[in-house]
Formats: sequence, structure tokens, C-alpha cells
Amino acid sequence: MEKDNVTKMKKTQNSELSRFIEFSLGSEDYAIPLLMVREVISVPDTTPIPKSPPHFLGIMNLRGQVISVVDLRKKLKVDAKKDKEEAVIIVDIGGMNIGVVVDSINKVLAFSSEDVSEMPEVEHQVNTNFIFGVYKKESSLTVLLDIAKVLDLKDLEAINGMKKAA
Amino acid sequence: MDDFEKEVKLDFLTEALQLLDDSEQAFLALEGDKNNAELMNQIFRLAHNLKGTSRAVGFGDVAEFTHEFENLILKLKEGHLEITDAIVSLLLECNDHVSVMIRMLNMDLDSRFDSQEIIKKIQSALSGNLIASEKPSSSYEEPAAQAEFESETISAEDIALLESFEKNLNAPAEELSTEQKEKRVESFFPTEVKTEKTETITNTPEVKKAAGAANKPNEDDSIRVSLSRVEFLNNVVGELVIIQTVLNQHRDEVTNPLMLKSLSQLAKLSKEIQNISMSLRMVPLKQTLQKMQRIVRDTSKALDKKVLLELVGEDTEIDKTVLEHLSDPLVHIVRNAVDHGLESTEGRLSSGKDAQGVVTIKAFHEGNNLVIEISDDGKGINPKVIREKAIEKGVISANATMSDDDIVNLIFHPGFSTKSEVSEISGRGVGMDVVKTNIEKLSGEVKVFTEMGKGSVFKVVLPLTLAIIEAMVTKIGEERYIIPLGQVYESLSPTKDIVHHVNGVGDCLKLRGEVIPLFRISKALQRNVTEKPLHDQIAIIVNSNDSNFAVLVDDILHQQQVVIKKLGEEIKNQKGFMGSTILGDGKPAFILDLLELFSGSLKKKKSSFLEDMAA
Repeated sequence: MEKDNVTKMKKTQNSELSRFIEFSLGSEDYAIPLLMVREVISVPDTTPIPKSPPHFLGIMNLRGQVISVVDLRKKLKVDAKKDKEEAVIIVDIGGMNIGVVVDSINKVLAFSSEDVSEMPEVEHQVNTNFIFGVYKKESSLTVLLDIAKVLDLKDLEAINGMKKAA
Repeated sequence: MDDFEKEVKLDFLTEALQLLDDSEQAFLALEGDKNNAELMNQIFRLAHNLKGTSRAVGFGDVAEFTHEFENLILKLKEGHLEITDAIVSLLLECNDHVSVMIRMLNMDLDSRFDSQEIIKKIQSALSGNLIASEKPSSSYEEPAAQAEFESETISAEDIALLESFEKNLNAPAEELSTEQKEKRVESFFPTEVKTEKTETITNTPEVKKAAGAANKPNEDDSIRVSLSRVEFLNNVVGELVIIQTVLNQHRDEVTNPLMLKSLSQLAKLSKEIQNISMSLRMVPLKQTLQKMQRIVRDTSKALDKKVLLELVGEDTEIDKTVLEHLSDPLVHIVRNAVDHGLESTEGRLSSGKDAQGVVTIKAFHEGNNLVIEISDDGKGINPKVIREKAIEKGVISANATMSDDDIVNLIFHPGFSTKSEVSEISGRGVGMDVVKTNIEKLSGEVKVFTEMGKGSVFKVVLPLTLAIIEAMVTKIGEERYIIPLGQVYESLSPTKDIVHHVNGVGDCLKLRGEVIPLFRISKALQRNVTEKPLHDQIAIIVNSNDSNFAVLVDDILHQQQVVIKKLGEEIKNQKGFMGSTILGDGKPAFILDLLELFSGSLKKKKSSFLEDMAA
């Protein structure tokens, strides 16, 4: 599964520099493709969504558009940082906008696909197919996320894709 | 298949659907005016066009069939074959067949079709022995995907063909004979034909046009824009309006006269922009109403009735989203009018009426609503018959006192129509209650008025747009929820003397002799909020199809118009929400659909409820 993701990414990016936006969740670093990011804002007022899973923080008003806000820390079960710096990344997943709450935005990463390694083959109990791969720096690691898969939106995307094709 | 080819094909499909609509109208017109040479020419051009382009873009099966289709039309045009009703039926059948193929291709560009059966029909018609088939049904059978034919092979061929077309187009004019040139140009620019078509239709005696004939819209004046772009514009404009309100609230702080002037000009402009952007969603009813022409024709043919359809106010505009959901209920009502409303030809003659029945569809604006009236000059609905049936089916009790009007409107009751009594034509197993439900989903209503011996009128009233609704902003705990005013029947204070607790059922209200269940919105939404004590709350009575129910809110803040914003895909499937909106303070809130939210609990409770009341 991971192999597929990496090769897919390598293929699409053609070994040119790919850009990711890096952010922190608790003490860990994660990144998502920069092209999926619409904007980054501070945490807005939200209205709770009844009957939704706990990681759904609520809906917000983004300049007239109502979009859902998801707390990525709750979704990935990472403990939030103590100092409240929080930011919301508005991502665009196949035309669908969703706000993602993270602890802090670090920087934009630019690297060629050779710098990305596959997820180490360990006996994982958890499903990790939402991870593109891992980007190694001198001392630390950044996990590259497939945000659509993290949020279980792959199915929706597939439906939308079918609509477009028809 | 490369992108270019795909694009060309998809373009063709969109265009073809338009052509088919046009040709269907033309065939229907032909039926009433069989010697109209101009009409025949136009039909030939349309068929020729279809054949040419379908071949050029590489839909071999479509081209093969349309070739036969064109042959038939050519024979008719040249007068070798007489145009009879049976021929027109066959033409329509062919049209349907092409339409089915186009729709299938729209879903899968590699679809293959077998048209042998219908081609045989055409050939037998050509040889002059058409067996009149009175039931105009498409003989189409779902084709299994046939893999034997490599789609790649067609593609290669057709690209070559297309290229040669293009070359011909670009070649110096001298190289092509005028005739050839026209042919080429025609197959590539079918718009020309469309404009001419508008005229022909207005000449048709079958269709009486009361409005719109004078100012024909010039088709070149319009562009196609995707609905999502219009929605995006509406969103941005909505935000503009909110900012405008904020500016207006701070007007007093501005002293500079130039600033003040600019502010009021800006206010005017944004109002105008808002009006324009809302109007972009509005489309004329024309196409939908013209489809009824075909419905009436097919239905009347099958029932052997003579029916004239009058359309009034086709240019009346309505929100695109409303229109999309309007077609099915309309078809049902129109079929019903022809089937049940109008008498048989003999019946009409014996009651001194014209042999030809008239069904009129009239559309007009009334306040913030669109009204569509479907009337027939048939026998009307007998309240006595309805009453008997209603009692028989247990819809009302035998000693119920009801006005004739109320009794007639029982035909919309879910328990009223059942499969066994519905005829093949207007039935298909669904009754008028489905019509009513569908129209209510659009926040509209439908009523029937009837006069014995003179006919009936079905009046459908719809909001002009679904984008804005009148609503109540309510408070439950610290949370705000929007309730559409259309669902609110009344609101009252649940005082101690009307609230009763029924064991095993829960709370209920005893109101004017009626007992209605009382639900908590917070519970249905699974929100953990601290609500006021019951007797300080406000009960909102909701008028539902089967029975009424009441819900509790802490407070009703105010009434206002709200702009409905769609929910994202991720939470769209949640039951009970109509959408969301942004309130005056910029915060979003959910718009509840109380009927949907409580549809489950209502059914569950109803049975145990009745037992308790009987005890």
C-alpha cells in the first residue's frame, strides 16, 4: 500500500521539487501538499454540528461560505500542545473545502521525491494507508499525509470524480 | 481516448440532446400539420445534422441508426411516403431511441447499441407496410457492454475523419463546391437550425402561444454557465451584502460628505448586484412545459382521446433547482388530467361538449411565488365518490363532517390511491400523494379545485427560489437553530393544563381536542444542552402530512429571510438539516428540517399513541 503511494507520488511529481506545508500536532511534525491548501486562518467561531463524530469541531463562516472544521489532533489521537497557538488550514479536496485545526504551522518544505522514504515496514496494528511517506531531515522526521484519506473522504472524492467523468 | 477526442464527443452529446428536443417538438408539430413543407425541411436538416456529426465524432452505432432515420425522413420529405399518424409515432419512437443512445453514451462513451429491431420497423415503413403501433414505446433494450469492437479502432478512424473535415473547412473556398461547403458548415454549426426552429413552432396550430411569441430570444445572446459558478457568485454577493449592513450601521460616524455619498451609492450598487446575481439562477419554464406536449400526445393516443394542450406563460421564470424537481410531479398531474380528468370522446359528445378535450397549463407569478395551474375541461371530481372511497379505505371515518373542498383534496392523502385502482397511464404505482410530497419538498403546495361537469384545476404554488426562505431563528440552550416558517403551523406556550404525560409515549399536548406528541429538538440532535423548564419554553406546532406534532425551543429570537447555504459533502448525509445559513453576526447556524428530523419517531409513536388514546 505504502509503496503504491510513494510511486504514485513520484510519478505525479516527476521528481521535480514538491512543496508541502509542515505543521505540528503535539510534538510531532506532519505535512500536506501545498497545492491542496487554500489558506491558513486563525481558529474561528464555530457552531457545533449535531450528531457528528467527535473530531468534527463545527461549521464556520468563511467569507460567506459555510464549511466544516475538523480537529486533526482528535482524528489522529495526538495530544494537543499546551501553549495554545492553533491555526486552521483550509484545504481543498476535489473542490470540497474543509478546515483542519492544527497546533501550529511550521514552514513550507521543498524537496525532491528521492528524499521521501516509504513508511518503515513494521508490524503495524493501525491502518497507515493515509500516509504518503516520510520526509527525513537531519534530526527529525515529517510524516506526509494524504489528507483526503485521513478524513475518510476518499469515497466521496471517487463519487465526485465519477460525476465529472460523466 | 485522448482528451481532445473526449471533449469533441462530450460536446456532441450535449448538442445532440438539444437537437433531439428540437426534433421531438418538430415531430409533434408535424402531426398537427402534415403538409408543412418548411417543417419537413427543418426536420430533415436536424436528422442530417445528427447523422453527420455523430459519424464525425465516432459514434458508429448512432450514425448507423441515424442514417436509416434520415432515409425515412428523406422519403417523407420527397413525398414518396405519406405522413400518417403511425409514421409520426414511428418518428417519435426513433427519436426516443436516439435519445436513449445519447444518454447511455453520456454515462459511458464506449457504449454499444443494437438498433436492428427499430431499423426493421423503419424498413417496413419504407416499403409501405407499417403496422400501426399505437403505443409509442421505445423498443430499446439495455445493451450489454460489447467488448468485441476495439474502441481504439474507431477512434483512429474518426480522428482521421475529423482531420479531413477540418482540412476541408480550412481549404480555400474554390476547392469546394458550394453545396459541399454548406454541408460541412451545417454539420459543424447547428445553431443556425435552432434559430429557425423557434419560428416554425410558433406557426403550429396545435400549440397556442399566449405569451412570448412576440419577443423571441435570440439564442446567440446567451451563454452557458455552470450552476456552481453562479452559486459561488451568489455566495460572494451574500457576503457583500453582510458587509454592506455593517457599513450602514456605522454611517453616523462618517462626517465627510463625499464618503457619505459614496456609501449610499455603494449601497445602491450592491443591492443591484444582489438582484442580478439572484436572477441568474432563474430559468424559463418553457422547456419543461414543452415536454408536456409529448406526454399529452402519448397519453391521449393510448387512451384514444382527442386532446389539445394549451400553454400559457411559458416564459415565466423559476429557480433552476426548483425546476429540476418540478418535472416529475407535473408529468403526473398532466397525465392524470388526460386520463381521469377528461371524459372519453363519446362521453364528451353526449354531454354536449366539443369532442376535443382541452388541458391548459398556465404559469404566472403571484407575489413571491410561482403558480402553475393545470386545468382540464373534463367531468370534474365527484366529492361523493371520493368520500365513499375514503371511507372504504379508512382514510376518514364514516360520520366525518367535511366540506366538499376538503373531501376532494383527500386525493392527495397517502392512504387514498393504491396500485390496484390506478390505471396504466397515470399510475405506475404512485399516487397523487407522491406528487404532493414532491412539491412539499420544494416548500410548495398543491391543491385541487373542481366543478362537476366543468372540469378540475390543479394549482401548484411554489416559492420562486429555494436559495432564500422565511425562517424563525430559535434558541435551544445556548445554541441557535433555524426553523423554516413553512413548517411552522403555530407557536404557543405549553402551559400545565395542556401538557400531559402519557406513560410509554412521553409528553404530549392536548390542543383543541386533538392530542399531538411533543418532541425535544435537543434530544433528536443529540445535543447536551441545558434547556429552560418545560413550561417556560415555547412549543412550535409542525404541520405534517400524516399528523401534527410539536417541538420545544427555549426562545424564538426573531423572524428573518435566510440565505440557504449547502452543507459540505462530509455532513450532507445527516438527516434533519435543510442546510445552513449565516446569521447577522456572521456566525453560521443550521437550518432544521423538522419533518425529516422527526419522521422516524413519528411513525414509531403513532401506533402506541393511538392505542393509549383508545384506552
